[in-house]
Order: sequence, then structure tokens, then C-alpha cells
Amino acid sequence: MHNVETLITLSHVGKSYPTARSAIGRLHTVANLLVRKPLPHSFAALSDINLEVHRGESLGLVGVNGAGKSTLLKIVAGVVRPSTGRVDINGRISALLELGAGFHPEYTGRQNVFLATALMGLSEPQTRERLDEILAFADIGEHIDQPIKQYSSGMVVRLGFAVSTVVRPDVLITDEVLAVGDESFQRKCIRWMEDFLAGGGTLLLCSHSMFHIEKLCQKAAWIHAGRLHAYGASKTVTRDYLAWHDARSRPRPQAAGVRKQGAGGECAVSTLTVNGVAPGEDVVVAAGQSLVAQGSIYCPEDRAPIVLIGIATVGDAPIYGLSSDMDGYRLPRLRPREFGFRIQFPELALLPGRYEVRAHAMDPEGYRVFDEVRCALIIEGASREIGHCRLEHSWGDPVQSS
Amino acid sequence: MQTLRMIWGRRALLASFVRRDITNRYAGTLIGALWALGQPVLMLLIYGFVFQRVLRVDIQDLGGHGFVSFLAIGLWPWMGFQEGLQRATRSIVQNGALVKKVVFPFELLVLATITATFLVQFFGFLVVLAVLWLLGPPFHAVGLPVMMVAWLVMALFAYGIGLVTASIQVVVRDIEHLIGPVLLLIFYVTPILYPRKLVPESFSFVLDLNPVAHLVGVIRAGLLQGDLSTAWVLAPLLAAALLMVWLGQLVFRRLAESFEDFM
Repeated sequence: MHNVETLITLSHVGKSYPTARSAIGRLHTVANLLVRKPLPHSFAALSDINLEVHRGESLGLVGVNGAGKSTLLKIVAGVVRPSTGRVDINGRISALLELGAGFHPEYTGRQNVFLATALMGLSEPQTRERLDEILAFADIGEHIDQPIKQYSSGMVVRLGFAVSTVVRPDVLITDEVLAVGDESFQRKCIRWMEDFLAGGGTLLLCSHSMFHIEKLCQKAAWIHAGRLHAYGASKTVTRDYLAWHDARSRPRPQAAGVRKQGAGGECAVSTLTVNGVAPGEDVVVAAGQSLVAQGSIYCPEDRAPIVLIGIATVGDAPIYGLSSDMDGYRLPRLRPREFGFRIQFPELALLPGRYEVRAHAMDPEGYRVFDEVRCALIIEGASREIGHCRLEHSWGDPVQSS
Repeated sequence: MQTLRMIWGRRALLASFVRRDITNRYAGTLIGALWALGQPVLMLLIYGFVFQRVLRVDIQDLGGHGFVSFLAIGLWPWMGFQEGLQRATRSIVQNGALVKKVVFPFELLVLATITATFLVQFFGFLVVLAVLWLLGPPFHAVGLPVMMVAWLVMALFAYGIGLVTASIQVVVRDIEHLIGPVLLLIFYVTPILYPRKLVPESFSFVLDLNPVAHLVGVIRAGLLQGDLSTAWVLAPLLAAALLMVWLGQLVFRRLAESFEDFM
């Protein structure tokens, strides 16, 4: 990677916040700050972050609330001084940490535009030059001459973003600003950001929308508990993050491969292997390769039970499932009360990501589902397609209709 | 020098902040900025009534001027200093939302508050001066430039001290409550309500160390008596005020690095 200009370098950056102190402690704090001594008893919001942002290679930050994403953005923006480590910045940075920060409620929209641009370092004539552009972007009509306090929150945001479009920095830092505003305005903002990127700009953004991160950023960093948990191609990082998030937010967390044993005299999954791997370990399959699940079902009545096989996202959303009786497959009897099965999915159409293979045992009549065994499945590969599985398709020129 | 260049570079922002500060004062009032005129006139009426009709205070050697002139000339610069310092102390905490989210030289908030307060009070002073000039014996015009320099020095002192109090206030919120009583104390040990002559010899060293006492004294001597013999003190006072600003900036910048931690 030669000739790639590094715009931001974070080396071993950490940030600690002083914890609540007594009155005397606070005086002590002032004294410590004056002589530049580090503060004791602090809470670490970020530790040992190493990151680089290159020109034209936008970086998205993902992570749960409180993970330290915003603190990291603030450090790069210069609002917060890191407690440890170094931040090297090469180029012009503009930060949009909050839309409409610095707006004054009593001022009209127009007056606030001047205040906000002054905050960004523009002189009055410079602002006047770009005023039409700002007003056109905000598109709030005659409201521009009313005090901001009468605005809806959406209008404030529109104006806030519009103001920030007048500067064209090397790096634009934005913190969740796309989460606000209505659909059409969001699209407008995204379009602007894409223009900005096409014009050689670089974004450093933090968003809970994986879609935005994948769309706007080449790289992504996953911040977890103040540390850099993962860094890489945005697609990979967001995918892993989503999978982790889904697994975490599942109502009843259950580790893959943990077996929910049915009570004594009921059908159960006795054994299961997926591509030869037993539950409890990850099954790794390259995209487009085949997947084979085999195992045995216990049936106390010694009649052929039904097996239900499914593939779901880590977030419990089913992708595909079927039972043996749907295809008229009858499980062969291996031993008394044990029946085997084997199912193959050739050329698995799943897109790269994390999934689960699940096997359920059902009674011979298919009335009830008794048991469940889960097996973690990782599909590897690179793809820019969106979603969970590939659908057969072909492109062609439109057919003229008369 | 660098500081001046920074301020000049961000003059649009400073002007915005000053304008915001001034319009804020009169926001929601019926007569708006007319209060800048009305308030000093009302206060002057009250002082005139209390001190000339009720208490009948009379002081000799005022160059033919009444006590109200004597008082007003000292009181308005003091009000600029007191109000400026009090408001400057709160300026960073009050603009917390901005300080937490936007990068800019935060000193500008303190400077804007001081500038706005002194502009308003100086305007009030001019109104008071004009009224007294019309109604009473004329002031000495030769005192006017001295008066203006003295106001500037006063503002610089307020700015320097304000930088310190505003930045400490972010960490220790007691400053705001402490500053009121401290200012009241300074007010009474400064000859504003009374002439310097009433102060016993043994205490006069306190006044010698009190820059506000000197500044008020210089303005009074100039305007009331046309006496510029003490005006030279403005030079060392200006130097002291600039030193205070420099010191204030040192403290402020150290603490500013951690403002966000305490907001």
C-alpha cells in the first residue's frame, strides 16, 4: 500500500475520566491539572487504541452504547484530550458531533447559520457567499426567519446538517447524525456524503446503522468496552458485529451446541455432526460449498421419528427449514429406538456471515417438536451482496414493450 | 501576540458571541435594548433621591460636583468589573453544550462575556455622564481619554481574573458562589461609596494595592477636577492587567484540556 496518505494516526490512545470526587478531591484535581499531573482514581473509557485512517478510506465505528465510540470521535476531533497515547492529524478535520450544537433558541434560523459557520471558522462574507447553498440544502422555507425555538427537532437537524455542508474538510467526523431526520432528508445527507467521498473526502463516522457503514466506509472498527475489538473491511466487521449483537440480544441466550434435553420418554436428537464437526465448535464452510448434517434421533416408541433441520441467523430469524417428512424421507433404524439421518445442501447459497444449524426431533406423527440442538456455522468468503442468501439471478437489457 | 492573532482570526465568532450575549439580556423584554438606556437613568434617579434627598450626603473638594456625580463615576466602572467577572465565571459552564461538542478557542466565551458586559456598562456610563453633564456643572473633557483607558484596563483585569475563575468553576462549582461575597468585600474596601480621604492612614496600603481603587481615583480626578497628575498610574496598571491576562490564559489553557471531563 504505497502512496496512501495517512490522515489520522492513533497510537496507544487511552482516555480516563476522573470519577466523582469529594470537595477536597476536586481542589486537588485543579492543582493536579495545573501542574499537568495525571489524575488518580479514574474510569477508563478507552484504552490502547491503535488506528490509522488513510485518505479515501473512510472508517466506520461500531459498538454498543457506552463502548467508547463517541469518546474516540471526540479525541480525534480535538474536543477531548487523550490521557495516554498520541493522536497525529495530517489534514483539515471538521467534526459534526451534534447537529445544531451552538444553535441559539432565540435566534432565527438565518442568524444561527451565521453563528454556526463562525464556530466553524468562516467569516461573515464567506458565509454570505454560501448562504443560498445552505438554505437550499436545509429546505425549510420561510421558517428560516423564525426563531429556532419554534422549530421541530427535524428542522433543527436539517439546518444543522445544511450548515455543515459548506465546509469541505479532508476528514469529516460525524457521530450518529444520520439517525435523525426523516427518510428523504437522510437520503439527501447520504447523497451529500457520497459526493463528499467521491470528491476525495474521507469520513470517520459512528453509526448504529450497519447499512450506512457498509455503504459509506471501506473500513470499520468495532469498539468494545473501550478497546479495539476488531478492525478490517467494513463488510466483515459489521457482519461479525451484527452476529454478536444478535446473539447477545436473543431473549434466552443459549450457547451453540448446548442441548435442550427432552424429558425421559420423549424423542430427542442423540447425535449431530455438521460437516463432521460436533456441536460446541464452529463449523466453517466456504461460501458455495456443500453442507452435510448427519446424526441420529432417539424415539422411545421405536417407530421412525421425524427430524427437522433448519438454518437461522444468529438473531433467530429462520432462513430455511424443512422436516424429513416433507420430502417423504423415512429415517432408517440404526439400533432399537435410534434412527439415523443425513442431509446434504450442495452449493450452499448462504452469504458470508454467522449462522446456526439446528436439528429438532419430532414424534413419528409430526405433532410436536421435542428437542433442539444448535450448531454454529460460519460461512467464509468475500461478497458485497446484501442479506443472508444468494438468489439465482441474471442481468439483461430491458425488454422493450410495445 | 499569538493570542491577538487568534482573536483576530476568530473575530466573526467573537462578534457573534458578543451579539448573542447582548441580545440575550434583552430577549423577551418589552422595550428591548432601550433598557440599556433606561436602567442607568433609573439607577441614577434612585441614587440621587437616596443620597441627596434622604441621606443628604455632602463631600467637599468635588470641584463643585454633587455626591451623585462622585458616586456614579466610580460605581459604573465597578459594575462593569463586578458583573463582568461574575458572568465570565459562569460563561464556560453555561456553554457546556458547545464546549463539549465543538472545537474552538474556549477563551472566546470568556472574552465575549467580558466584552459584552463592559460594552453595556460603558454605554450606561456614557448615558449617566451625559445626564449629569446636562443637569449639573460640566465635567472636565480632558478627563475623557483617561477615563476610557481606565475602563479598558478594568476590562483587561476582569478578563484575566475571569479566565481563572471560569476555568476553575468547571471543576469546582463553588467559585460562582464564592465570587459574590468576595466582590462585595472588594466593593467596600474600595473607595467607591466614600472618598479615599475617609480611609485611615494605617489602611491606605490596602488601597495602594487595589487596582480598582486606583482606576476609580484616576477617572474621578480627571472628570471631576481635570486633574491628570495621577494618570501615570495607568501605565503600570495596564502592564499589571496584561500580566493578569497572560497568567489567566496560562491557567485557563491548562484546565481547558480537561473541560470535557467535568461537564
